[in-house]
This record gives sequence, C-alpha cells and structure tokens, in this order.
Amino acid sequence: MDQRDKAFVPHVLPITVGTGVVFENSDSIAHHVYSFSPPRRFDFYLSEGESREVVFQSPGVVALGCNVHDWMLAYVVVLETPYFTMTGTDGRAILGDLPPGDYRLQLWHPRIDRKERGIRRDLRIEAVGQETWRVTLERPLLPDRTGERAPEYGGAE
Amino acid sequence: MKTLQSRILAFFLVLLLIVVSVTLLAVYRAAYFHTRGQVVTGLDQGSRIIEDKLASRSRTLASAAETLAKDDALRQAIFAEAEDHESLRVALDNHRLRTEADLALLLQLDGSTLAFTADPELEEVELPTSGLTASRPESRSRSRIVVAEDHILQLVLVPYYVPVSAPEPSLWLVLGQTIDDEFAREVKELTGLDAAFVDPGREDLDILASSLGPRTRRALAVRALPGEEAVETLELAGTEFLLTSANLSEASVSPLIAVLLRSVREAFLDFRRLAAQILAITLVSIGLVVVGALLISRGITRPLRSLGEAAREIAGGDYEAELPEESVGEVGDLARELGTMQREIRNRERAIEHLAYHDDLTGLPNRNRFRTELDRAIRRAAEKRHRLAVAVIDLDRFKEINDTLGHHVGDRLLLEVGSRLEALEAESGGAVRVARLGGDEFGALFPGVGIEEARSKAEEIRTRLGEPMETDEILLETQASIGLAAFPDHGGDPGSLLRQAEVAMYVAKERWLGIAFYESSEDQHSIHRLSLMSDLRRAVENDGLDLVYQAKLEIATTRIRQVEALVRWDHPRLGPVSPAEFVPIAEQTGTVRHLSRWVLRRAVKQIVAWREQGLTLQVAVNMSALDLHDRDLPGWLAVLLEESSLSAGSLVLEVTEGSVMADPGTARGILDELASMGATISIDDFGTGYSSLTQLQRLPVHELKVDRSFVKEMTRSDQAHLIVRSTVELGHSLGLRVVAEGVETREDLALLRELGCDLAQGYFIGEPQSPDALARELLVRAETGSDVG
Repeated sequence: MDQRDKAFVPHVLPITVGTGVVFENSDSIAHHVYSFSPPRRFDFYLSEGESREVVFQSPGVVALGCNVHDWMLAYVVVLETPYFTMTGTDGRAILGDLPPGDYRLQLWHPRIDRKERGIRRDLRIEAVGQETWRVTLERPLLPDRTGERAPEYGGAE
Repeated sequence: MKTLQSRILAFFLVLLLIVVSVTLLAVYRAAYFHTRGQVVTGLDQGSRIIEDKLASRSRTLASAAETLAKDDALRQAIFAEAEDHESLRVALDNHRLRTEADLALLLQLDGSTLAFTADPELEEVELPTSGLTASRPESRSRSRIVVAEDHILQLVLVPYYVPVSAPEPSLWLVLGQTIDDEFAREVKELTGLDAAFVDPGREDLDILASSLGPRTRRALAVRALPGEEAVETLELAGTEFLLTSANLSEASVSPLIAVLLRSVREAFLDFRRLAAQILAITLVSIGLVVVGALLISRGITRPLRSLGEAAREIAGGDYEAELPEESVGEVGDLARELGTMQREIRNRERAIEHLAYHDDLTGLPNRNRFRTELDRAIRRAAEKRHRLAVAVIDLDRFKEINDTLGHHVGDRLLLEVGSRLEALEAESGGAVRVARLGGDEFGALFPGVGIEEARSKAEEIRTRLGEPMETDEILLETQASIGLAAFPDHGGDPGSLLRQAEVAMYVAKERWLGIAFYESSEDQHSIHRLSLMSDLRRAVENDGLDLVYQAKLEIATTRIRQVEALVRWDHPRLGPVSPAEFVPIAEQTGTVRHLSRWVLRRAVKQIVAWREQGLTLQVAVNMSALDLHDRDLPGWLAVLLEESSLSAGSLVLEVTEGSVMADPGTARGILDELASMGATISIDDFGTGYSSLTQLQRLPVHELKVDRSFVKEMTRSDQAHLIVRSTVELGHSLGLRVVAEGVETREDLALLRELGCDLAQGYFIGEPQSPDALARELLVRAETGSDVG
C-alpha cells in the first residue's frame, strides 16, 4: 500500500487472512497511517521512503486514514476466501477459474449505503460456463469525501 | 385688579400658550408616531438579529466541532473508550472548555451516548438525544435548538468520520451552548430590545431565559402572547411595553418563541427630551412675553396712570395739576383734552364759586362767604391773640319802603347801601370786610378791633348810610340799626358770634339805640322768640290752635247776627300765648298767611256746624297785610266755600287800615275780588292810620270799625267823642256800616245808640267764648227774646 501524491494507492486492497501488507511512502513528505477498524487497529508514521509491513490475521474491512492528510482514505479488505476480484472503473469484474461447487457471492463497495449492505447471491458451479451477476443499487452511493480538501461546515439546516 | 397692564399680559400669555400647546401637540404626535414606528421596526428587526446571532453561534460551534472531529488525540481516546471511559470524558470536557461550549456529547449512530460532558448545571439534564440523529440521516453538520427541562440549548451536531474522509460518520459529535439570560442580555445590548424565550407548549408562559428584571418577568409569564409579527402594547409591572414575538421553532426541535419587548418609557426617552426642550423654550418665551408685555403695557399705562392721577387731583380741586406731556397718538390727545377740561372746570368753578359766595344784587359776598371769612379771621385772631368785632347792619323801615314804594325802589336802596359799604371797605384797605347777609341785612367784619373801636366804626357806617339816597328821583333818608359782637369777648364760634350780633341788632332796633353790643340776657329773649315762631308753625300745621268767638250786637234791633273769630294758642309748655305776642312774629316770618288760612278754614267749618244747630251767623275774620298780597287767596277761599256749600256772604274780612294803605294797588285788587265773591270787607282799627277818603272810596269796603281806644274814651273825652261821632257820620255818608269795638259799659252802648252806630262789640256785649257756649247763649236769647242793656 503506497502513499503517493498524498493519496493511498490503491484505494481498496483486498487480501486474504494472514497476508502482510507493506506500507510505503513514495511522497517527499511525512505520512501517517492509522486504522481504528476492529479487525486490525494500528497507527504509525512513515517518513519519506520508509516502509512498514502489517499482517492482517482477522477478516473484515480495515479503513485507513492519514492523520496528516484528512482526505486520504483506503481500505484493506481482509477476506477468508481466495476467490475475489475488483471491478474496473467501468464497474465490471471477472471472477474466473472457479472450481465447481456451491458459492456465495458477496458485493462490497466502501460507499454503498448502509441500508443496502450485504448484497449477496448463492451460486452453483457445475461445469465450464459463464454466469453474469448484474447488480443495480437502489440507492445512490454515499458521497465521495476524499475530494473534500476544504472542510465544509453545515449551517443550520 | 383688572388693569390694562394685566389684560395685555394675559392676552399675550394666552396667545403664547395656545401657540406652544398646538406646537407641542403637533410635535408630540409626530414624534410619537415616529418613535412608535421605530420601535415596531426595531422589534421586527430584533427577531432577525436573534436568528443571525444564533446562526453565528452555530457556525462558530460547528467550526470548533469539525476541527475537534479531526483531532487525533480525541480519536485515540474514543477508540480506547471501551478500556478507559474516563479518559475520553476528560478529553471531551477539555475540548468543550476550549471551545467555550456548555456541553459536549458523543453520540453513536443508533443515538446512544458514548460520552457526555457539560457545565455543572447541565450535567443532570436529560437530552432528547435519539431525536437529534434519527430524523435526518444526512451526514452533514447541523444546528438544533432543544428545550430540555428549563434549559434552552443550541446544539451543533457534527458527523464524526473515521477516517476523516470516510463516506459515512462513525459517531456524532455534539457541542452545545445554552440560550440563557446572558444571551438575552447580549441581544439587548445589540438591539436595545428586551428578549424573553418562551416555551409555548407549556401551560403557563414559562420564561426560560430573559433579559427582563424579575418583576417584569413574572408579569409577562401570565400574559397571552401576541400573534407573530403583530406588535402589541402591554403593561407589565407598571411599565408599558411594546412587544412582538417570533417563532424560533423552525430552527428548533422543540417549540420555542422569542418575545421581544421595548419599554415605551425607554423608547420615548428621546421624545421626552424633546418635550423638555420645548417646555424650556416655552418657559423662556413666557418670561420674554411677560417682560415684553410689561414694557409695552407700561408704555401705555404709565402715561394713562399719570393722567389718572392728574384727573384725581382735578377731582380733588387742584386745577394746577401737571399733565404728562405725551405726544404719542391717543394718549397725547387724551392728555390735551384733560388739560382743556381742567381749564374749563377751573373757570366754571370760579363762576359757580362767585355765585355761591356772592349776592347777585349787590355783588357783595353773601352770608356763606361772610361766615367763612369770619371763621378764618377768628382763627387768625386766636393765633395772634388779636380781637375782632362783627357787625350786623339792618336798615330801619326798609319793609315799609319796599311795601309802599315797590320792590324796585327797595332794590335800588339795597344797591346804594351795598356800594357805600363797598366804598368803605375799599377805603379801609381791607381792614373792614362787608357782606350782604340777606334781605336788608348787611354784615361787617373788623379784624383786630376791640369793642370801643368797633363802636366808632359802626357809627361811621351809620353816618354814611344816614346820608340821603337818591333813587328813582325820590330822595330817601334811611337809617340803620347795628348790632355788634366781639371776639373773644362774646365767643369764638363764627355762627354764634354772627347770631349774637344779630340779637344785638334787634335790640338796637327795638330800643331805638342805633348801635348795641350783644348782652347775653337779651339773647334769652331772642331765643324765646325764635322758638315761638317754630312752635307756631307746628301749631298751625297740627291744629294746635283754637278759635273763640265774640258777638257783635246790632244796636238798632238788639239782635246778634255777627261774631268775630279770635285765635287762641294754648302753648303746650308756656301756656296761653297772647295773639299780641305771636301774631307780629307770624307776620315777620310769613307764617301769618298759613295762620289766616287755618282761621278761615276753621271758621267756615264752624258756620256750617252752627247752621246745623239752627244758628245763622256771619263770622268776621282778621286778615293780615300779607294776605292782601296773596293773589291765590280769593281762589283758595272760593274752593273752600264751595266745598262747604256756603256763600261768601257768611264771612266778614277785617283788614287794618295800615295794611291796606301800605300797598293800596295790590290790596285793592285782591279786596275787589273777595268783595265780588260776596264777602263783607271791614276796615279794622279805623282812625289810627292815615287813609285818605279818596282811597277809602275806591276800596270795596262795607264796614268801618272804630278803634277801641276812641270808644273807651268817648264818654270821658270830648275829642274821642268827636272822633267816634264823625266816623259814624263819615261811614254813613259813604254808605258804610260802622262798628264800635271795646264797648265795656252800659253808658258806652247808650251813647253809641245815640250816635247812630250800627254795631257794638266788647265785654259789655259779650266776652269771647267757645263756639258751643256762644251757641247755647244765642239759642237762649232767641227763645226768651232777652236783651242786652
């Protein structure tokens, strides 16, 4: 997980349980990494060029922030399964090479509204084939707040 | 006192008061509506200012909260909460204090409280936390006003993101400030308005926060609130307020109303200052008006007042009063007119004074003036211990001259006497003062003169007046009687001194002395005479006299058909007074005319009374010389007779020879009239006067009465006998009846019968007696036919 141009790269990093993630600082300024997510709480500073490895032993979503730059946000998604994928910017993703068997498909996105979370589907794979799962969110995504460099104050609403 | 000055002053004051009142009223109205308008606008703006202030506070709080929401230390504490709650609370409290919030709160998304810290007074307050988050899911900062118990709290909710730019909040951070009395006071400082925050949902108006004092606050609590945006007037605890209310519920979770008040008294403070200024200007104006009016009115009233004073002086008799020389318009005219009036009055008064103090016949000072001069002379003499003498001069026989030669001759005589006395005064160089005291009476005053010198002066006067006087080509010789009285010998009072001189004059006249000095014993006599005169007048007026009747005998027939009425006066104090005493006095004073008319009236009454008794008598009445000048007498007598249904033939009017001869012309006219009415005219006391036969012949005479002096003597004196006989013969030859008076003896009567006299009267015939007694006697005579002699 790199910190570059005052942003975490990548924004979402799915890993399997027990995987170590190396945090790097490619910027010329000091950064900080913190997590208050239950699967793994930590925080540390990273100077220029410095790196540090964190091993995630528990499954779950770990949200990362930078204490120095409030707009920086990244997620390490710690999974118990080896079968996962991420969509591109076009919203498509292909999960291939799945052996036949019964699966449960689960969708996650950091900005899906709380009320729509846990979108999932059961799937049986029996032979070679191709299955398409089209998901349409009923609610809009939560706002992307990483661009909010200038804090916005709410007045009397 | 309604002076001109006070009127002018009052006029200006009233005018000023009206102007000021109208101005004050206009200014008051304008200022009142302006001020009220300002208050209303102010109230309107007040609620917006409160909203602004609340918003501003909310922004400040939110700003603080958002900064706090990114604070790493707090974040650390939050996530260590499970292990160490107290540390979180302390950290939160620290931040609360730093942001000057009254409370700080961390809420979890389900509305449960993670941490809470507040000012001690708010620590126990239960906040409606669930309502804060549940209603609006948006993850934006928001401001809320909540009423919790008795506190109004302005809360700012800020989403707490972990990480900071996470799409949804993990917690809510709440910072709050109370809306309390302090806040209301700040509002007041900003707006000048009192504010009260009220929860309209509660039964009684519970004032949660206010800038008002405790009393006003309590008073407001029980009032109904005005509708929104309406401005009402309300009296609270004795103070009048204008108030409006604004609903803050839009920004508030709980219903909340802000009441804005403005004390009318405070609002009108400026207006009052203006009114006070106007009042001050009014007072100054009043002062100026008073001074101005006084100056103006003094300009008018001062000359008027001095004119008034001059007029008073003129009224008081001072005709030399200085008149103010005012050339100004009407006042100047008035002053000039007053001056003219003063001169006119002075001239007229001098003329009147001359008339009042001078005799218009002779031009000499009159009695009044003489008295005044006498008074002045006595006072001067008393001061200087001098003596003085006063003389009263009366012409002898003046009445006779007047009666026989006529008034014009009398007047000429008086004029001549006056000019002689005036010449005397002029020669004396003022040492003698003369005056005409009335009638033929003159006065002379000799200042600084004693008794002896006075006598010689009086003698000089007598000498001068004794020189013959030529009037109307008649050479008159008259003489004067002079009475003298002296100061201090006879008294110091001008009135009594003058009277004393008069008494002395009477004495001189009666005793043919020429000149007499006053003696107090003589005075008694004169007083007796004076009082007798007034008593007589009263007696005539009040029927205090009586008539007795004396019979006249018809000698030839021995019958009595005529009686003479004789007046008797029984004086209430002095007893009987003889006619010989009072008749001359009556003649002198003129009372005799009233006396004669009284006698005639009484006699006529008696004739009527006798008629009723069966007696027919002719009554003789004595007439005075004055009656023969009374032109009204015949007419008066005719009326009297007519009223009594009598003819004039019942009356015999006896007149003395002297009275007829004094003024034969007038007397004859009146006697002619009386005779033509039918009355018998008898000449009394015949033989004592100097009547000529020619005159006698011209008169309408029917009867002659021979004077008693001759009748008494006729039996003893040949001369008297001759006179009686020749009178009888004369009378008969003229066709007249002849009456003899004073018949006292039988011999007298016999002689008269022998002489052929017609009627006899006297004690021998019958004494004067009362009408009743006479009637009885005559009735007896008629029955018995008895005779006298």
